[in-house]
Amino acid sequence: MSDTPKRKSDRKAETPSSGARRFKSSSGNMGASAIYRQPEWLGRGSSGWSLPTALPMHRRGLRRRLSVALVVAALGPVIAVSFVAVALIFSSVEQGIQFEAERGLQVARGLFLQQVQEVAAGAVALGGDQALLRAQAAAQTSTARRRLGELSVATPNALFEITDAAGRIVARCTQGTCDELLTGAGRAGLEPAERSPVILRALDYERTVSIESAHDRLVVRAALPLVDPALRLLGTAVVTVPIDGTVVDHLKAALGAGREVVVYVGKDPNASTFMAATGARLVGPTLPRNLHVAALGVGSSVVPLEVDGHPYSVAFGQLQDVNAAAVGLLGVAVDREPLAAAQSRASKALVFGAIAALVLAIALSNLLARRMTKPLQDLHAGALAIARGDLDTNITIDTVDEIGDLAEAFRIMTRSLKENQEGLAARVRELVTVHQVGRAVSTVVDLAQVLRSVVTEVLAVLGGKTAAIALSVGTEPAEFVVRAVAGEPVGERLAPLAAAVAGLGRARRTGAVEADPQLMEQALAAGLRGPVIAAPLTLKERLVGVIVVGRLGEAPFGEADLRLLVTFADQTATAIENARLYTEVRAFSEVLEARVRARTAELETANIEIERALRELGAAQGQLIHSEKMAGLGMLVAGIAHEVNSPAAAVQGLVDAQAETVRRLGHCAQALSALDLPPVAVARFFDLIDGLLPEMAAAPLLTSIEARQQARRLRTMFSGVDGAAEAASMLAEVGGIGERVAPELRALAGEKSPAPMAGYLREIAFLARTSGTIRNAIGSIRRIVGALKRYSRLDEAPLERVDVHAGIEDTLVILSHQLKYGDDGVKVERSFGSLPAITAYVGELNQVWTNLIHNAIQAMDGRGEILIETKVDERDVLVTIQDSGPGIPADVAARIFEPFFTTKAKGEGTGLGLSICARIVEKHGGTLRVDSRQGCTRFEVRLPIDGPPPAPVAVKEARVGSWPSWSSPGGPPASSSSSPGPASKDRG
Amino acid sequence: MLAFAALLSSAAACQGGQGGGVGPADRLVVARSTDAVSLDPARTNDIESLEVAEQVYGRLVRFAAGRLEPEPDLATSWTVSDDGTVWTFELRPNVRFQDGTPVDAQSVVFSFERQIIPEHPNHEPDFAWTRSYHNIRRVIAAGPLQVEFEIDRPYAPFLANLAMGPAAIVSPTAVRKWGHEFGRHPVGAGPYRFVEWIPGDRITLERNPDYWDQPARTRYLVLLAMPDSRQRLQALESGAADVIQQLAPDDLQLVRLHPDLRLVMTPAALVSYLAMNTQRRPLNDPRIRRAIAHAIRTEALVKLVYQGLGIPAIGPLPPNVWGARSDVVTYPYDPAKARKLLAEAGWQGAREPALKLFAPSASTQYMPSPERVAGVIKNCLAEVGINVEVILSDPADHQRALWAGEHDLALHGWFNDNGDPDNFLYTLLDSDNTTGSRPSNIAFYSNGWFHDVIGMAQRTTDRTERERLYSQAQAILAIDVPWVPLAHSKVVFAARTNVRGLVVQPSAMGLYRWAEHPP
Repeated sequence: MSDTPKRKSDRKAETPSSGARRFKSSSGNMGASAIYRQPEWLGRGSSGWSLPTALPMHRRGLRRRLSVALVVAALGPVIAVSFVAVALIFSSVEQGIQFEAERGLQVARGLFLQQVQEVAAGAVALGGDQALLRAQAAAQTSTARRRLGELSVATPNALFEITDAAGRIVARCTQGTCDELLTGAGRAGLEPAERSPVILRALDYERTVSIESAHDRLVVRAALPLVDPALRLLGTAVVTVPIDGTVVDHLKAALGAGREVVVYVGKDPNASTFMAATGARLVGPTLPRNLHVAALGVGSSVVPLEVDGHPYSVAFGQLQDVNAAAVGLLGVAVDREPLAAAQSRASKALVFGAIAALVLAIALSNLLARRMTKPLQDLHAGALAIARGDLDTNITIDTVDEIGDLAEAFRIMTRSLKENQEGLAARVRELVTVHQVGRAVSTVVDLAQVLRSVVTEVLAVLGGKTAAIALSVGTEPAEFVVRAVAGEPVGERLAPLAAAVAGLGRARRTGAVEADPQLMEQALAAGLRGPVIAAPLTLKERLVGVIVVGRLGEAPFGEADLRLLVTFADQTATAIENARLYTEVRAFSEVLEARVRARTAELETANIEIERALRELGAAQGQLIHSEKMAGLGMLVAGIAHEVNSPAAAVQGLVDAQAETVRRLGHCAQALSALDLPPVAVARFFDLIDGLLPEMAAAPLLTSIEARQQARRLRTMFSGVDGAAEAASMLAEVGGIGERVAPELRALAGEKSPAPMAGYLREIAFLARTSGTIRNAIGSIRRIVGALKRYSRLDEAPLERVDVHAGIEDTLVILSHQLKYGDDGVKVERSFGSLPAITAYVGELNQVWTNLIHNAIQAMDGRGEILIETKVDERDVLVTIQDSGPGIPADVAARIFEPFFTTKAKGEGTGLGLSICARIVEKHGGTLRVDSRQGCTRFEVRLPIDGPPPAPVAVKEARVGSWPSWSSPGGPPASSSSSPGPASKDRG
Repeated sequence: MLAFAALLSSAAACQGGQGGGVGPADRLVVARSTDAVSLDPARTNDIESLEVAEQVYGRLVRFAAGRLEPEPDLATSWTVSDDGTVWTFELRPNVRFQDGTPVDAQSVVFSFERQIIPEHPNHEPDFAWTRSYHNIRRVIAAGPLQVEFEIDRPYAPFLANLAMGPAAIVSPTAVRKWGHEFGRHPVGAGPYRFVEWIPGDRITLERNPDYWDQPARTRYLVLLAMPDSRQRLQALESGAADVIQQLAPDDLQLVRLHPDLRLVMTPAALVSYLAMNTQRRPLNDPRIRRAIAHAIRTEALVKLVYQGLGIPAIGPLPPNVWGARSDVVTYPYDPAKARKLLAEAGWQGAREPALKLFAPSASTQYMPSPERVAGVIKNCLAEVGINVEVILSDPADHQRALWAGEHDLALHGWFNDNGDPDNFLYTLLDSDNTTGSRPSNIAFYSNGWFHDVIGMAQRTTDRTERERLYSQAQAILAIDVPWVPLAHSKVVFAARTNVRGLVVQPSAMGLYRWAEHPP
């Protein structure tokens, strides 16, 4: 064992850089956050696989870490616990002080409010004083003043006032002194109470006490009405007490030592019990600028405050007037000095204690670590020596612990290492040769060259005079031809020896071939003397040749030499086979290459075909999508045509009829003028018609029976007049109005025929009525066209705020011809919730509604019920369209959202409808689900209110690949991964 | 170091807060002047017991928060037969009593039958309300969740009666189990369940998590009995109580000035009035009654005597009773007009005999100092030439004198039972109630028109129609002036300022379901 000091200096000399780099320490705390860096020498071999030479001799890293760990382990918890303990003590003491202050405030406030009540009681006493009341009732001001003076004697420090019934002060006294002395330069806080809110309340018969700020001083002021027995208001009595030193002293007395009381008016000090060092009373500390009075609000808050250089904790609570408005603050201060001193002492003790403990712990842990790491260091040194190759190093550690065991294991390990190393050196030599031969035979495919290089290498490695390989030719009995020779030539004479070795069937080593009975003859024939080794070349148990090495009288071959030769023999045999195989392969590969060229040409042609087919398929898909759109439009147009056509036809018919009516009206006018009625009557007639116009437009027509009955009655009415029957039947056509105006018509006509007038009236009525009908018809055409206009904004619409209900309603209008309301048609139930507008592509959404509703109608064969439900679900809008159709069979499940999937007859649908719906919904960031069972199929569309998420356009486009973009320009195309429902039948 | 800091702060937090369990925010403490007597709704007729029962039990209908108006409770809807005598209630499904017994038609029938049928196995002779239900003929379970009440004549206020305390639905299981002791182990279907009762000290209730309506905000409700009003106020100041009841009038000022405390007030379902004996000379002359109404400084009187705890009354109905009308003829203080009216009626002034004014000698629930009120009235009337002789007697004698009709004038008051206008107008002013040994109409007011209107209102269940009829009735009263209505008292609770959601009912009970106070 080398001595330690020397090793230390060695280490310093040899590894200054690695030693410095081993730890990267964060300042101070080495153990916890040290980053271990791998020393360079671990990754750096000195040469080849051999041992490192530049090893550090000695380390103290372990010891340092151990001692740091010990310090942290021993001291850390102690320091932490003491910190926590001290902090807990501080905080509980702090809380104690806060609690004391708050409790003090509570007590002080209770006491203070009691004093306020006493002031109120004083006022009540005034109100009950009969002498005062009598004087007031008699308006004897001087008597009242005198009496007030008497009453004020008993209560020092209070101002007594009385007012008249109008609130004017008529007397003011304090401690028996009245009026003059008080006006103007009165005592601070006792300024006149005129216009005080409490007086105003007292004038309204209310007894009130309040805390008020009067001329920047806080006062308690109580007022009550003075009334006579019949409650006539005589005036008010007011008692005012300033909140001054007397009051705060009183409060302090109840709180005990170490407590001070302070009162603020607004934020300004009003009175306090604080004393300056000179013994003078302080008005109170100024509030810190950042102390927000309103924030003190309800309850109390404790604030640290320094008064005259002395620390206090002050609990503040608001003082409020009778309207609950804040007028000031009441503070109770608790002396913090004892706490501050204790805190400072404890801090010092803690710091000194911690430092002392740290020093002690470092010393102790260093000692301990040294003891623990000594054997380890010895072991380390021994291991390093062994690592340098000094396998004779003796590790002398005899401690009976794990380290002792480790040292013993080291010793055993060293021994076996030494033994192994020697064997290893020999083996290495062999391996190197084998490697070289192996490289030669495996890289050369020409047999002759292989054999040549084998014999050359063998001769070089084994150090003989001659080496030769003979290969068998022909079949049994084996004949051998020498194919390669190195060193001294042996030539064809070697063949018999080869045959003899082959006959032995195994490798042969002989010290002197002359003495070998089995080989002597053949060896001599070959001109060989001395030591010979020979090995057969066998390939798959077939003898293919022999390799022979001779030394011609030199040192004999060892067993290792023979082992090497056998290895060479195996490799040579393999090489022979390789060479043969190579020849065959080359021939085969030429054929193959020719075939590959031919195939490649064919494939290129096929690729061109496929590309063309794909292009055509793409075009076909585009065409199909276009036809789906067209199909939708066709559906629309069919509906619209029907819807528009009926009213248009009606309008056409009515307009024709009106033209005819106008013509007849001309005739009537002529007939009318032919009657030659007095102008007054004519004017009256036209007035009558004007007045009736609105009524005529809306008047219901009579049934034919009613009309006949009416005509009969009218005939009776017109009896005896020309054209009675004609007039009666014409008026009957006008409905109820006819009968009403008949008497007047008769009167207007006089003896003349009322028929022209009746005729005129009839035509006018017809015009009025049909005009209404035409208006309605045009209205319904406009409604449909409007819906169509909104609906058909298919692709060009940008993202916008969309009213989902309007879209559904438009769709229903457009599909109305398929709905055929009535017993036999499709009944649509709406259960609409209150929806916000959503951000969407309006045209595309309409397409979704159309597809789903149209599908539902078709699924039900035009008979049944569709329930459309809408509601808001969190940030989504949920639209469900439910039909009472037969449901979707399970075998069609999961496929209905696939493009081109349809169960309809060929030509009926493109099979794209639902897949397009799914794409549109998904593009909006929503989902489309289906849920179907017998008699109830629900499609649920979920759309985010805020519209589609900003999708990564490029990525999505790449994903859908060959699918033609279907959506509006600018929008990301929907991906094909919509979520199909559990069961389905194609409805697309 | 950071770890230390975290440790410190968490340690400090542990110290500051409560170490788990029930924090003050989970408990609402209410201090009241007296303890409850019994928590069996069939027995309770004191306000303290009724208030606890209000929290523990559900009823078919309950009074809406802050108003004496029935709203669905355990019944979701109801119908009345055309003849007005059969009321059918549909019960709320899936409601359970706090002991798990389902609330069904049988339990409703049980709750009423044990009170109205003396032979019922769970009837007790001391049940307080048996007589109040005399008009119920039968209670039938018409279905699992349907109950029919058959009453002897059409009677619209019946619904309001079912919202009152004794109409609470009790758990039949619990009643059978505890028998006479049920009053100490109440089980209902209200917002709170009973936990503990330390007589003379406290009643503790816990939130019923299965309450059919929104569960109570605060977990525990503790009702303390604290007879001394000063002590109650101190408990409130110190935070030992969150809410106190029965405030001493002098302490109102203190609460007003205290920033941590506030008053919670609501007009009570109560009226105090000066009744005039309308069947005796000289007050059978409405002109003299009107003169008296004009002669009294009512508003000043209410302000001075009630000290902010009363509002001047216009008519019998407090403003928060439905149907109350404020636009009737009033008689403001006007001595000149009073003198004129008296002259018209031929009033002889000092030569007339003095009117006898009966007043109770001590404060009553409806009037703080009747003696003072009587004095003021006497002085006011003297000013217009009416002599009054005040006769003070203790409340019991006072009541007897009024029943006997010995008075010309009388101070009296009425605490409404069920929030129905009928309970004021019919009880206090209908001619039906002028006779018998205990007439409740102590003005002996008898007006056929009024009687018809009130009768019609009783027989119809149409709310709008009833409102119209009561409006008419109040107009009749305003013209006839059988009373000088004086005041509606206020119910006053004081609470700590941070208590939110406290509802004081006109019945003087608190509703604590919504009350909470963040720490």
